[in-house]
Amino acid sequence: MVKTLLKKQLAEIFKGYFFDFKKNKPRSNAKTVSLFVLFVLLMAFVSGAVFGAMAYALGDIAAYEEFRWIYYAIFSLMAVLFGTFGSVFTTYSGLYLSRDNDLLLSMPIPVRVIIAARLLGVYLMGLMYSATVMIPAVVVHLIKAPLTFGAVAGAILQIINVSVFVMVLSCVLGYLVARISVKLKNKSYVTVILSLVFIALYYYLYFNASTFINKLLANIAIYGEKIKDRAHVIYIIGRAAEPDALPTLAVTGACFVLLAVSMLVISRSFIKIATSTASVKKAQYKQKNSHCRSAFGALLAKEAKRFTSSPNYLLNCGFGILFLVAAGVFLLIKGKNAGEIISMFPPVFKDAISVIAAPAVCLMASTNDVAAPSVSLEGRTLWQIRSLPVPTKTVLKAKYTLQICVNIIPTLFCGCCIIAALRPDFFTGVLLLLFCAVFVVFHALFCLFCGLIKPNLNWTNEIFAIKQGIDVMLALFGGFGYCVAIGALWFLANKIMGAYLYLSLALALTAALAYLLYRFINTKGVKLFERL
Amino acid sequence: MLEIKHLTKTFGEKKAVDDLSIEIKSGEIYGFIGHNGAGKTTTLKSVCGIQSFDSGEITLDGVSVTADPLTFKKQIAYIPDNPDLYDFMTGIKYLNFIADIFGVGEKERRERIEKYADIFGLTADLAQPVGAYSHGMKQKLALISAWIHEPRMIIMDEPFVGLDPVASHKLKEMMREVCDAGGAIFFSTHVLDVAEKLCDKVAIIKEGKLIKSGTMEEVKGDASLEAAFLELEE
Repeated sequence: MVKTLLKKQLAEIFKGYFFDFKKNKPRSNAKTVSLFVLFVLLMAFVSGAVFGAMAYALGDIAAYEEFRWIYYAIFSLMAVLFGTFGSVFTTYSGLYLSRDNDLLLSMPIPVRVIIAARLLGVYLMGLMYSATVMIPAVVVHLIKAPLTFGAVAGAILQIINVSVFVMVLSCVLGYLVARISVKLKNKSYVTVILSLVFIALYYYLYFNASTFINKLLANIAIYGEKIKDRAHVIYIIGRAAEPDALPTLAVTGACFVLLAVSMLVISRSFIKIATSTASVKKAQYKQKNSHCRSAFGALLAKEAKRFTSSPNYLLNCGFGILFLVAAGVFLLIKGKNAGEIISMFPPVFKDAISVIAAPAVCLMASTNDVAAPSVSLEGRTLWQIRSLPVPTKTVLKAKYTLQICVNIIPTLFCGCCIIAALRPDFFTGVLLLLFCAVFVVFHALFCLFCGLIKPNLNWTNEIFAIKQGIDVMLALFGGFGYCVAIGALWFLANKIMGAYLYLSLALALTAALAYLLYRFINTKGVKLFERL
Repeated sequence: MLEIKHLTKTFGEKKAVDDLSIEIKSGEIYGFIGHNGAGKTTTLKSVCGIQSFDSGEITLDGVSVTADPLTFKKQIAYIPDNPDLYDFMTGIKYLNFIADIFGVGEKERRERIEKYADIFGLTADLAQPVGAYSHGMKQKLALISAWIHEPRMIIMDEPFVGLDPVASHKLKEMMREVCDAGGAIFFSTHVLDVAEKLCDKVAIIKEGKLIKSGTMEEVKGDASLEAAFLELEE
């Protein structure tokens, strides 16, 4: 029974890799393998490179046996933070909001088995994120220190322990969100606010952790002794990876006991939470004049309502709004002297900062990929839009317009703040803002393009459509890649052209790509949507 | 009014609908019956422009569903067998959304929402999110949304499933009103007693092929519709 449910859960998570829903047939082995390789490469490139560089910088600590526990303690804690951050949003919906809850609960399946199968998805998500931190750390350790069986075994066990602990933390947070949700009316907003508080806390710890690491490196022996005395748990966690028999047993045992306890708590409360509805007063309908809209207005309002009704959708596809606003405010407060400092450097340096600022703002804007899952999210309600007398072009227009509306103001705000901080000349400032505005349009069209070519309409939990679809991955990493490429190419191009010309060319290229995508969406995109 | 000529639809090797022709005239309630997988839903989906088809022609008052789908769809309403509506909207927002798409004026939509919500006893629940509705309430909401723009032709897939007896009775009255006003109803059902009492004409489909159609008397003769259906299915 467990095997059957686990197979179902795995099939649900990875079905996009094995089955082509558009062609309604299984993918070839070569295509499946290439999709997995592409995914691993994307993860390795985007996150692995960051933690790889960090591991390399701290690698000397791993070479010394007496300090190796500090190295592993640092990376284990970072992996726990990163892993929990990555999987916590999926835990609540993955555990409690799946559409097949009623079906599974109606069958003679013990609740603990349903929970175990559900937790597989949570575990894999946590493992994916935590391994991105741990694997570079382990590789650097094995390069810097003598390669022994004990070192390899300890490192592997530490990766497993960290991933299990990440799952425990995600479950605890998911459980708390679930308990709070059953008592609330505006679930989506409260979940978003709670999540934002968690994210703020996460970043506070993250940034302070880097300060701590720097101090630690400077005074490693002193801090090592202090940690041993005052935070013995961290010492034990670090020692477990060496491996040292007793700490390894203690950490492994603790992780699995915590897992068992959290599973027990979740199992006992699962039916009550999964089948409950919020204990709020029923809203009373009062007849009032309705506001008539055009068909496009109605569709745009529908897309906006869908976006704001789902905490998963808001957090995963609109989180960049916060980044953009926070970055803008930060620049306004802390960037006052940046312009004066930059003016002291040669013009080439000033040009470079101005040119890189534009794709940097767009990089943050590209995390808002509202249009990417919007096709998949039609799911079982697709019949509705298809039966209505509205042109498919208008349906698609509503989808990319929402993303533009969501993104344009915070992006331009951030762009204006950069101009206020860096004080580039007028023409560069105008080009920077124009590039940001055109990128927002381009990215909205690109996200919809990804949603149209790789839709997944057969999800049982919206999180699969919002977070784990190939369409979303393509949109997200495609946006990142484009911004990084525009920024990086400047370092080659500055030898043959100035900032004005480069920004103008980047602007023209982005506008041309946006136009091509617009043409595609209005021709082939319409046909793709009608064939779904 | 509605003409389906030589409709054929295949899924891979299987012919879901095979050279099916039906004509539904103004004022008729037309029942569509057949066993599971006979091709009823495929036909209904093809008629309302959701499903593409391989060959044949579907027209409503001369307007083709393939050549001019928007004009065609403005004249019809469709209710699927399991209405998955937008869970994230409240009932009233959903009705306003449909009214906006069909361009129903403020006064008309207010009157029709009031009328049909009262008929189905759904008025008090219109401020609730659709996600909190039962299957029957969703079905009632889908019915109100179908009637909100006063379509000429209403296409329904198993419309009585999930409805309580009072709502079923009201729906039958509403169906007759549409036909009395010059419209028509085309619906599938497995409830043969309802079809026998309600329908002016009936068509029986088996393995994608139309095996019998005509007035109720022509199809069932002196026997009951159930007996006629079972005989034809054998």
